[in-house]
Amino acid sequence: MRSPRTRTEKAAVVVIAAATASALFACLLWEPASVATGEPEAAAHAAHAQPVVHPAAGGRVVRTAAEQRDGYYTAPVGTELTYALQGRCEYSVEQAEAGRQATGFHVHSGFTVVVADRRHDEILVEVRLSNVALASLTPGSAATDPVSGAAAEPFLVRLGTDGSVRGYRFAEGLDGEQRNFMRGLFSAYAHRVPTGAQGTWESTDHDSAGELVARFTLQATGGDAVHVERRKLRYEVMAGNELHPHVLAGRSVATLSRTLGWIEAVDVDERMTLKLVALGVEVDVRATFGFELQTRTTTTPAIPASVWDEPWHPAAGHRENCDGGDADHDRDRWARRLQGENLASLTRALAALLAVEPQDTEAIDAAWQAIIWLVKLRPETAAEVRLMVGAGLDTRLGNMLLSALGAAGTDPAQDVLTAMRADPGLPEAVRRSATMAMFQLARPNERLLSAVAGDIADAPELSGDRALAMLLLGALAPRAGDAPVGGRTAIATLLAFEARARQEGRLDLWLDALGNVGTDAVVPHAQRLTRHEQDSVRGAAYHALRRVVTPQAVALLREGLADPAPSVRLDVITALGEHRSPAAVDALIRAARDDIDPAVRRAGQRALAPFAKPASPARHALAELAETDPDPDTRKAARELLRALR
Amino acid sequence: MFTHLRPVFVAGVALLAGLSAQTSISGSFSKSIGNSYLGGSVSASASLSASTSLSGSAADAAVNLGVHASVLTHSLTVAQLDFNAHNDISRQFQSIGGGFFRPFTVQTARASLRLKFAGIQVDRSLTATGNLGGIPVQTIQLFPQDVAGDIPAILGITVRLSGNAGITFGAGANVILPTGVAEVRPAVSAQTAVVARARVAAVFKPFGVSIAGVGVEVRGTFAETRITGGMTASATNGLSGFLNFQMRAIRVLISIFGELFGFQKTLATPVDWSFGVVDRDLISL
Repeated sequence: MRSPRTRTEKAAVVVIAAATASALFACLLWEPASVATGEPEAAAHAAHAQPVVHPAAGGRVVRTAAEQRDGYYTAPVGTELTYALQGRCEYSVEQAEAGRQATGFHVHSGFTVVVADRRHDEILVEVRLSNVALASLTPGSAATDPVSGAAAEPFLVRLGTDGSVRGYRFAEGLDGEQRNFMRGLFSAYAHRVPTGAQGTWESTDHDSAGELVARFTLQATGGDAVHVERRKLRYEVMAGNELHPHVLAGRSVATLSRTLGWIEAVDVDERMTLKLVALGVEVDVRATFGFELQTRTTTTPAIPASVWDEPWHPAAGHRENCDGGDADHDRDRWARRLQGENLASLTRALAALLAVEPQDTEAIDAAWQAIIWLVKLRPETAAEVRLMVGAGLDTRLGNMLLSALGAAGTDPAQDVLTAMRADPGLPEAVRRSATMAMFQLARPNERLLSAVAGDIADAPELSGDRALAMLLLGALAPRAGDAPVGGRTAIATLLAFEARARQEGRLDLWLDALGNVGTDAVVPHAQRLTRHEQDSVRGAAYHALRRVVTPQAVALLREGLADPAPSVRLDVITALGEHRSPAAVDALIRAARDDIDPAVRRAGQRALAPFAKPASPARHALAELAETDPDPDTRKAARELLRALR
Repeated sequence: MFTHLRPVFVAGVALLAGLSAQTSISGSFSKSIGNSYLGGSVSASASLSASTSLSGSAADAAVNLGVHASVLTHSLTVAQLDFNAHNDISRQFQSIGGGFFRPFTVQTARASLRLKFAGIQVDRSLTATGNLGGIPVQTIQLFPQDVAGDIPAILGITVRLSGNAGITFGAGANVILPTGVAEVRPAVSAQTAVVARARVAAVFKPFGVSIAGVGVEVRGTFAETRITGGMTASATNGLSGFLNFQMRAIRVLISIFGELFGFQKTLATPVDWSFGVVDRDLISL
């Protein structure tokens, strides 16, 4: 990958070598203190000693004190280096049963690095890509994809004097994937060489995948350059909550020139295999890249000094949000898949599947997904669904079409559901199905929320569909964001229905709706009503805490286990069963062991079953209760549960 | 002290024991499926009990069905049915003065049905007898938005994980709680199904157009369950009836695809966590 030097460059090497040798000699003659105090920066860049290679050191480079202070990245501000970049990236996804599918791309580009500024122990460089040509390795796919827009803008990199990347400053408008592409290129290019490094050492490093540990080896070339080999050993931080098992192989080698005071060439051949064990999937990525110096010039950088103090993107790319492209990706995929289809054809296919017994659930789901995507991709489909369902369809088929509107969640789909829910000309079952479909909405719009809230307010009584509407308002309230409902937030609107619910003796329903909210905003209202005189209200108050996993909520539920009414204690047990926390399991064990009512103790046992993994506290408790519960039937029930768990 | 009362005490205890009777039956099923990336659990249980004592008589019935699904470590209750019925008659005494008490009975009858779908409560009915309602069979998405996670790999390749599940649930219950007798007669039915989907794709798309992408989609169909039954728990006539639980075999489909190349190869693949059809009476009398 390295280019032969031009005659001019060779001459420059000789001159600079002579100068640095003289400087070294001068340093040896003059008192060492003058070295320690440090020269002006420009002088430091102008005078570098040749590395001394000791045969006894196995070819390792032994560097002078001055060099150890200055490091290898000594090129002065204004140095502009342009490389030819050629790369190839192959990647595959493999699943044991399904096989392996591979693809990849290659890239050609100019890659220019300008030393833009220096301060203290940091270097600022500007990086530009030029004449980028990307091509897929798969025949017949997109030939090239020129970089344009924000991606063609230069980006800045903040380096330590050892070449370590400390941060990036990318052009605005780049998304996570684009930033990671730039990050990936530069982290392949940059090689960290600490001052005083010798032989082999391990160090942390960063790239687009995360934070890693790499082994570096410094080797002399016999000339003015050194080779730095980097072998990535393991990632210590990657995206997600866990570190996925991975295997790294290959290496990169950077050639650093003293004459240049910078990187002269880089060869990369690295491989990463990521194992998603739980899904039985392996993703393998292999990158081979070369950066070959083409020109070295000087320029006058025009980077404002203020940039140092402005926000920087992190060196590692694992926190980048790359899902911006995912929706488009799925959209493109479904648009291709649905070419030539329409609602009528997709509905016929779904109807045919529903008519077969036994039903093929997976095929039904796939057909339903297609309708959901048709609604997402073609806005007019929502109105077509209304016409089709309104004309009369098999109940299950009609329900699935309406549910597809809810799953799609587009504004036209929400408007159709809102209209159908309120249409007195439609059968009650259809209107109810439209309400059920709304439970899926990720972002309910203002019109829908206002209609639901208005329906509750205008209802003569809180029963039937209006009761369902109250539960729906609770479910949608936390997803509504800032969408106002009559000048209030959705949660405030729901809270305002308390007086109405109290008046009608339906505080239990109102509390059930609060339970669907599931945030800690519910706690004070639930707590207030745990002292209500009616069992059903107290039970609902405790049950409203089922999705609020806070110490305060758990403490309240523990208190609820002492409620005098067994039916209330059953509601408390149901709520604790949904908490899935050690504190909740502890409370359930108490209920299953200590409650005075055998029916409640048995409910406690059942609630413990999902947590009763082998050797767990829940399993131990069930085993103990199977032997020690004072009631023989309750002991028998515990034994039955244990048998089912085996 | 009070040794002369011991025979009376013993006789009283013997009388209480003779007059007290309790009978109950319960059954349950529990199964964990797959793992936290694609899987879940199913649990079903039912119990009937009836008792009589000097202080009164009582009958109880409970049916619970819980299905949980986990997609890419995000888990949620797919469907939950909690049915409880209780009917008791307690003997109490009212003071009528002069050291005399008049006996009378108090009956407490209640039944409740609570249904949750995708973690949201969609129905709760309380009754002293009769129809508890329910929901017709509905299919919805488990998560309002697909769960997703990206793992950036080398050089702008992104390993993209996404998933969701289509879930089906329908349930209903009816219960008779007669007056004058401690008895519950519930009829419960429910059905569930889950099709969980997890997609892994390696894509390179840094400049707006996919250069290439390959991936695998794993779809697991599980928790296709059905509960049906009618039972009676009576302090007078004992226990009778049945509650049947069925679960169809689990199936997994794996597809491998190339995004730009217009192909998708789907394979039906048996996996370790598949098992045969379950058809079990949780209660059979």
